[in-house]
Amino acid sequence: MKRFFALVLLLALLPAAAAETQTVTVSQSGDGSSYFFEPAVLQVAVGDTVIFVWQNGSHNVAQASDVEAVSYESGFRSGDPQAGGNWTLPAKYTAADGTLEYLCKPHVMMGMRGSIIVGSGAAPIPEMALSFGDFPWLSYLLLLPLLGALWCWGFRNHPGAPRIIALGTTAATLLLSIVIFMKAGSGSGYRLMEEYVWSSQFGVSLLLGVDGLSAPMVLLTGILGPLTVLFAWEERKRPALFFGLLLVMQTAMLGVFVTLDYFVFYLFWEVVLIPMFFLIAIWGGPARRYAAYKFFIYTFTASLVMLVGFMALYFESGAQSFSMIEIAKHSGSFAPIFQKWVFAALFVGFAVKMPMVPFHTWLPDAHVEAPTAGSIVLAGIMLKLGLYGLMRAALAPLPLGAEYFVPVMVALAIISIIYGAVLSLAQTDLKKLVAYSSISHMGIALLGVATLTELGMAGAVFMMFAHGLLSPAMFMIAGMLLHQVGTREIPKLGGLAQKQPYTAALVVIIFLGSLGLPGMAIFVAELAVFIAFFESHGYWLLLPIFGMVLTAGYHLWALQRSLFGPLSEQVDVTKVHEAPWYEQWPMFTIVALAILFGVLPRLLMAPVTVACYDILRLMGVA
Amino acid sequence: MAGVELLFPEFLLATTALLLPGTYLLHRNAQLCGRLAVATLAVALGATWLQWFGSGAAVPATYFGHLEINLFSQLFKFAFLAIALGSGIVSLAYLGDLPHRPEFFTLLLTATLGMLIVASATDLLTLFIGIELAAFSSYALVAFQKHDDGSTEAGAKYLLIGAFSSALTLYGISLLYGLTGTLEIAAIAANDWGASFSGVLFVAILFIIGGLGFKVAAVPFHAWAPDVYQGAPTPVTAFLAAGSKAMGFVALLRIFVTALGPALAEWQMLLAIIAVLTMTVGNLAALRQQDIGRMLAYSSVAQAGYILAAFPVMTELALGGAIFHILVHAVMKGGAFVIVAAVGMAGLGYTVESYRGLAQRSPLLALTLTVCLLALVGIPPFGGFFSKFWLFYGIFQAAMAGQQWLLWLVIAGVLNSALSLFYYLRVIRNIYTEDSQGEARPFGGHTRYIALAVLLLLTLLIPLQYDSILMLCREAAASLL
Repeated sequence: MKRFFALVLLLALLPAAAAETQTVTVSQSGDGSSYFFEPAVLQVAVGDTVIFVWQNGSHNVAQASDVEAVSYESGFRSGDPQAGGNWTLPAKYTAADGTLEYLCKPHVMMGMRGSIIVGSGAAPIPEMALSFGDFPWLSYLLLLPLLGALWCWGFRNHPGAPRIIALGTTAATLLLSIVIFMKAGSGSGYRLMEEYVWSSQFGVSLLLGVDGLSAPMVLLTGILGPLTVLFAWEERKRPALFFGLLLVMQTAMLGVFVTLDYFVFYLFWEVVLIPMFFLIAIWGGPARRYAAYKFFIYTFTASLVMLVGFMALYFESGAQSFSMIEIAKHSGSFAPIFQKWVFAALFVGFAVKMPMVPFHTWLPDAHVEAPTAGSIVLAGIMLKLGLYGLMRAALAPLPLGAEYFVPVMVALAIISIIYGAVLSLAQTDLKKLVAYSSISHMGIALLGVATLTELGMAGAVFMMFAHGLLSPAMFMIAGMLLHQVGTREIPKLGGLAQKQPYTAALVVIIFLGSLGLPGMAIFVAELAVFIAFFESHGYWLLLPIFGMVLTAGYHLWALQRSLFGPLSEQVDVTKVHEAPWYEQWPMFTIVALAILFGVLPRLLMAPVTVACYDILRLMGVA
Repeated sequence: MAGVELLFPEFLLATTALLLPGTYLLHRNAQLCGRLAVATLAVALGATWLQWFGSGAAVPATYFGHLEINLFSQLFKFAFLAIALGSGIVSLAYLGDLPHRPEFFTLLLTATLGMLIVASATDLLTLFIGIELAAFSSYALVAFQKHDDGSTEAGAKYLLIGAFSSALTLYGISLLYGLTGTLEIAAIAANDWGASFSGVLFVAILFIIGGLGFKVAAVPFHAWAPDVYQGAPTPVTAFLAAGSKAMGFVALLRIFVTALGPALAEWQMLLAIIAVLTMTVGNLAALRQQDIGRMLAYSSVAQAGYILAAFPVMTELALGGAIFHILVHAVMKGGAFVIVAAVGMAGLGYTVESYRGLAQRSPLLALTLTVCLLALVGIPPFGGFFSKFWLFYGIFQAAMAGQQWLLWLVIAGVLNSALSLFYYLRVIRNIYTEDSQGEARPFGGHTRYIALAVLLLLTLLIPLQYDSILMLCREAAASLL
């Protein structure tokens, strides 16, 4: 009896144990009305052999990248179309879990395609293309502003020198960042990589690299550098320290964007806080101490939660490496519950930085009190760190966690869009209005990420870039008004356009760009995000669209009250004149760039889309 | 006896300590005595460095079963000598022309000698003698400014509580001796405690924690620290905060990790609770302090809590991180107190408000103090971040690997780090955002060099070389386990 059962068991297990041979018929109907592989979807176990047998007509078998591809790019191929015979699929293609798509080249348009699901069908983690550069561009990018900062400090006894040094350094950094943006190109994978081992026992290294996600951010940081310095041209209070801190900050932010190692990422992430704290605390407005405190403590606490998340990723992956590339490869082994917790921890760190309602309360204080240059950096680049971090550090290793939190992200994003817009509508201080509008705009970007689609994420990155250009311009306007009129209170202003027609024209264009005028960059981003959101969530789209109506409302209302109408009598307008060159030129540059990227979004969309597709591939969604 | 040359620093210190009073009687030159003491410390430091790196890895050498020179002891001997050297240099200027300076430096040398003995002691009695030698010398050091009420009060408090805690420690040691019949740490470690809870052992542990908890200022034995740190001459405070505290941890590591490691179950939860209490109470109390000495004292209590959190974990990485943090803490806290001493010497006062506009008075001191304080919070890229990160990661690793309740230690540590930012930022804000009311004041040349050294250590050397330093600390921790 025992033997009998053993035999039955053996027979039952035999198919699983031995590799089987499966056959796919390659054929067409006699009248040529249909062309097919039979079976079209073949399920095989790992290690099985697949043989294609030709019956009727002249065909070939060629791998396709996905179910929609119509051409053969790489992979397996039976050769030129042939009539009759058979061909065996090379064994390496059935050696691991995955889905293989293939087609017949002459007849793909007639729908002659098939797929083989190997094992459980889960696609293997794709290998990202890594290319190490022959010149350490990124190291120079990080070093240059730092050297400039030291140089500024060296000239602390010459009040006129630091600004020139800072302008020179940021201009050189801008050139470097343009070169890097060009070299990063729009291919898949990381470019210009460099690796300097820091700790061999723990696998910490200064791993640098750019892809389509970080290159635009590097470019944005580069562009804003000289503009910030120009706008702070007349800074008289401890200029060496001021420009030195701006430069240190630039290095730290660039560091966040180009590093691919969790440990170093956290390092740069925190270093950003220190110069910003001093910029607000020393050069800020009347309540600067409170604002600087709140900013530092809020973001530091959130980052600590994020740090514990990084520890968990490092421990759980078992890779003995902090490299984001390595850890993402282990995402398959992370349990769903683990992914949820860690994603939550990382999301707290990133959401405070973005900032999303209800973690946003530090932002208006920090913005209102910060000097204009600080606000430019804060709104232009620092707010982008949160979303960038989310896409770079959280999505790829934690796909299940991200999917679990999609409803939360969507809800927070929509609340931020509407709540930010409503609060903007209620503000009388122009700077506070812009601060709340940032919350609203970053909500749109988060909405794009939360769709977890290529288009939505690309729209989010585009929004980061576009908002990174236009919101600094808005802060420049607020700073300029404070200089000239002595107040930013919108109700006290009025009719300024009469006194400064050219500047007013710039202001109008910037306001329209910021509210999403077609032809300027923010419109492209909003459109992309909304299309993607409509595809994934349907008519929920009406909620963010309603937010857009409010956005248009507060922009236009503020514009109308401050620039047009009768000349205000509540403030001294005798000194109002055209903005000086160092204020006009930065604004003009930004307008020009916003129009450029609004008219030719492809410049940015091409690399960004590829990078977002890469992330989705790593997540196993695409 | 093989390897006797490894004891050269100890012999040198003992000899100079004996010769110093004689030198003063012959030459009547107090400044000379001070310089001689500092030179001795420098030579001893250099000798330790050469023995450590010159002869490759230090060969473990034992002397009569009481002392053992190994990697762990070399590491801490080096640290103690460096701390003593730093506070010696500052004292040269700080003491000015107070009477009895030769005695001050003699006591500094004997205190350092006691610490060196603790670093390499392998039996509990030698350990205790080392602790007492260091303690008795520092009682007098604390009360050195005998015409200053604060200093004498601090000295009296330190003496009374110190004597009490020494008695507790000794009683705990005697109970351990009664239980095991030996004083040798290795033999105690080899003792089979069995699986059941031993009441007597627990009482012995309580006494030892009570005694040594005083040294490291762990809650609830921390009450002396603010008064003493505030009242003592500031170079002595630096010496206590950096050196004496590290010595307490060395003793704790020897006794708990090595000797009582097998009886982990008896004290694990107890030390975990003390660690969380210590960091929380320290930080909460520091929030409201106006005197910078008291604030740094409470911050020192909090840091002791972070370090104690590694004890219940008992893994090589966590203990290595703790040792790393002990060393880095000595640099951060010592550096901060050196600057406090300089600011006090310049007649600016000892409150948080005295630091208004320090950035205009002396950019270097301002920058160094800022870096020290940010490093104490654990903000990158300064040295304190690396030690704290790996300390907490060590605990986190153990928590993920099985003992999940240890996660609470990580959470408490992280929350406390965020909390501590508050009071450090208050000082930093005063340094940079306020205008100084007075004119520029001269700061002593010695202080500037020490400040520069601390600055370079915290911003360059430790961050860039943390891998190899941590490797050393892990090896030292492995030699304990």
